[in-house]
Amino acid sequence: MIEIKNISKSFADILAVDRVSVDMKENTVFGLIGTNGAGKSTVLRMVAGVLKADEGSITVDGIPVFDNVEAKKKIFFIADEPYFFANANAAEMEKYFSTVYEEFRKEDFYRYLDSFGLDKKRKINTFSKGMKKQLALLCGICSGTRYLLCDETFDGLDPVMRQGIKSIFAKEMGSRGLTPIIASHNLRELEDICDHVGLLHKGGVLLSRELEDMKCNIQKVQCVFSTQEDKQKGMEGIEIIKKEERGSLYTLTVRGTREEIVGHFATVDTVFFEALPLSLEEIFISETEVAGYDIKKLILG
Amino acid sequence: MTSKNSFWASLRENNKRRIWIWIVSGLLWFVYFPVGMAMLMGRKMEHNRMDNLVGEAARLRLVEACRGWLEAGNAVTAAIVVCAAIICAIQGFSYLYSRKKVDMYHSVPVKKSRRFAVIFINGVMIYFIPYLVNLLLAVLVAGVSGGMTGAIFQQAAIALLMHLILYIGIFALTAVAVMMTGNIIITIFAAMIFLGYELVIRALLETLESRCFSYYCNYSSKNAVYSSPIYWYGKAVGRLNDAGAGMGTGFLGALPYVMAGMLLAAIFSGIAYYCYSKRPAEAAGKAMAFEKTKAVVKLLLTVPLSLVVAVAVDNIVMAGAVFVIFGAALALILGNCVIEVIYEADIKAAFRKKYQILISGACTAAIACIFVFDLIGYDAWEPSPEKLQDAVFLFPDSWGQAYMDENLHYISVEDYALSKPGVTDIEAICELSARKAAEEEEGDSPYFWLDVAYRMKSGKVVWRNFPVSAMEDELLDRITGSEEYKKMVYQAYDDADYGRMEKQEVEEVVFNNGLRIVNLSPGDVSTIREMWKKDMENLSYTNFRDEFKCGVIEIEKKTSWRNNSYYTDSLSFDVYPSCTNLRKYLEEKGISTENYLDVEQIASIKVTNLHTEEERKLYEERRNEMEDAEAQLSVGREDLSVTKVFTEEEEIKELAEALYPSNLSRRWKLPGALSSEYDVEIQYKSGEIDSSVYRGSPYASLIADRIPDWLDEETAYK
Repeated sequence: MIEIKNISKSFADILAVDRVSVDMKENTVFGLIGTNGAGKSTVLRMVAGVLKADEGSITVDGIPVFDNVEAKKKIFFIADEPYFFANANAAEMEKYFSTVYEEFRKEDFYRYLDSFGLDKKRKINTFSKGMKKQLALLCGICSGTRYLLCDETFDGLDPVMRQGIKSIFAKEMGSRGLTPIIASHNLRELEDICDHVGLLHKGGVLLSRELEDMKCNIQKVQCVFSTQEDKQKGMEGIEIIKKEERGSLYTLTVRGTREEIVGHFATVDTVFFEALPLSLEEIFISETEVAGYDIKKLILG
Repeated sequence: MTSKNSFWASLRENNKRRIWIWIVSGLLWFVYFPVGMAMLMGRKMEHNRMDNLVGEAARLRLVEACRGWLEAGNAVTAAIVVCAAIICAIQGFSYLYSRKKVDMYHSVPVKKSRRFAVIFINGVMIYFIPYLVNLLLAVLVAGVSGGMTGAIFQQAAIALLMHLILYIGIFALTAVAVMMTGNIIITIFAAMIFLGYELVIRALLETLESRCFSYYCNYSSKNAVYSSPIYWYGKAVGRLNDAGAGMGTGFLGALPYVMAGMLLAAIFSGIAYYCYSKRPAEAAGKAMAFEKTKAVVKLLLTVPLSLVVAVAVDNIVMAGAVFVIFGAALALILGNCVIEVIYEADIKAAFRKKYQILISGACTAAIACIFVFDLIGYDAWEPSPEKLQDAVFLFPDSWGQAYMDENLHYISVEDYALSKPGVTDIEAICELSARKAAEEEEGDSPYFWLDVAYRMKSGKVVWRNFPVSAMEDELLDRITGSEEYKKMVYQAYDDADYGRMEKQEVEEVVFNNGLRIVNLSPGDVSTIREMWKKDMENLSYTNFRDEFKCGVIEIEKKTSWRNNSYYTDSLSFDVYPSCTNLRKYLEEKGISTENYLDVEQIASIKVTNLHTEEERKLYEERRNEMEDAEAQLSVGREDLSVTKVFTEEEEIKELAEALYPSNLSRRWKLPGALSSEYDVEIQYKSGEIDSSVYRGSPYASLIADRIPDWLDEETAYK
């Protein structure tokens, strides 16, 4: 597990990360969401041991990460603009990573290259941006590290590639407990990949939850109550996060499991009732609005 | 089997990123060594052919050329080594300038120490291996051409070592510059500052001292840049070349300098590693890597800059305090602004840290005050008799002599004097020092400026330059009469020094009385020196001041090849009237020291009375007559000199008694002892002087108190 405790980081007079505390459990896909300048890259660079936190601590499986080779052996960091050697090809990058990561899996690497249609002899500087990201991901996956830090790596990948990477993640998570940590400014990019999401804003953590928990514990309900008494009864005894009213149609975002909410409304006489699934985006909007933020401005622009 | 993440594997991987620099280095040394050697040998062989040189002479020409190309003292090779070191260091560590590269390299599981060592070692190998391989090829080329000897091979091997030390020193120093900065332009700037900062600061402080302190002595100046690998390289190479030429104390003489060079390289390497380990990754692309050093660096640059500008402005406007202060302030503000703009890469940041401008200004003002108001009591300092061990004196008669150290290297007069035991008459030394200020105030009393190095018991050496009355007979006689003084001033007086020089073969010995030169036998040198030393034991200041030299014994040694140059060393012994033993010996050899001239040989003496005083008065009168300024400027000096040729024997005899040859030094002489009003030229009778071998000078001055009474009348301006 990567434990981030109360870390802060400033660049000159700018506070980039402000007392962030997050736990990133192994065998999950952790999504780090935030706007540009929220501090995602800084957090990842600190987790990768590139930057030193001004305050707080970061441990990887209990080992402090900064300036510590043992901790870094467990991490592969893909920066937002991954660096490849000048005029190098994929095979040359493999040779380099093989010297620094003892458990680098050459065979898998070349197999994945083939399956992704990347030529191992082609110069990387002739690759498209997406191809470079794929290559960086493959290097990371095959490095044999437990944690894979991806900074905006999935942004711009086409759906087929995303699906391919997703299936590799699933396989690697199953076989050796790979824990990808993916930073992105785009919530929709992470929705189908992440198990756990942390939302960063202005250098601090707004929330950090299991995606499933979030999805299960919040429901959207549309209903038309038969009478005013039913309406009053239906609105009582549940935690309503958001309420919209259009004529007699109520759209409620309610905290609780689907069973609890359906059970609750079964006791109320309604003309129309429907429990709808929430997208990650909607969950975030609801959760952050509760916290007093306008998520649309933060994530969706 | 080599582990795939072994150090060797890391070196190999790092080298893959530096292939172009390997190629450039290989090509550079290939062109410089084997190709350059082939061209050099070819040219020298062509010279041999043109000069019809064959056999040993032809071979020696090739050998000399080969030696010059391969030995450590070759300035071109050293310059290439310095440039190569700077380029390789920047290339090796330049990844630190790029965030992308830093993110990659610093996130992989490689220890900082290993990464640093890999880049550092490869940086050295990139230079060393091509150098070594191409040097061997050059040796081969030289060997085939016939220009190679075992001694040259030895010198080439020493050069290899010396250049390696120089390279590592410069490489490490540049690495420090890379660590402290975040882009290549600032790095190059920083490396230049590291190399030259000590030199500039030393020069600035010495300039301030010489301008602000009355008793500042130029000999206290240290021509050394201890923080520069180039300085230690130069010192070591000088000694090694001596050793190669069979002189000096052998290779051991160079060892302290070699060790110092290695130590400096090790210190810079240590600093570079420390900075590397502490350098924050976020420094990539910034002007300065460490926030905390920004203000310090700015201060260390702007304060000297403003002081340098103050000195420069003072030189230009002279006594214009307002201009000096304005210039210094302007330099200070501009310096601070420019550096801040560079730091922030933002022109609007120029005045962002005004308090730093104020701090720099305060420091500049404080340093300026220390010098201008002598707050350290430089001029008031007097040696404490209890703390003083001895003193080294450099009187005017020390000048104009050539001194050599134990390696027969030419050395400066102060270095020579300091290598000798000083005068130990502490009472006389302190008394002389205490009287200096008073003497300066007495404008009419004749005085001369004296350089003294006070050597304290603590080992400290304090130099002062101050005026001493020429009439301080008792004190000056005590000092100049001492054995130590004579040894520190007259090289031939010291038995050990003379013994070393005596081994060199004598080319020529002459007695030069300033007007004529008479040859002596080289076999007489030892006796002459013996007589002279015996005479000198009894001479002191009053003899030097009041007596007019009879002449000088000049001993010229045979030309010798040393330190890549041909040397002709010479020794000279001043012969005073009081040198009775030497004069007697010379008289026995048929050389008269009584008179400068044999009146019988003189056809005429031409005397020119310059009438300088009348000329000055006339000039001033004529200028005062002119009303407008332009006309005053156009007034020229009129030549009032009167020249008369005296041919009568009696006149010649009287004039001859008053002559003092122009070729003999006038040091120690009191103002007015020799008349400045008369120029004298001697015309010899036909046949008396063989013009084909005559090497004297016909010019002379007149000793003031011996000028015949009639001369003034005879040469009066009418």
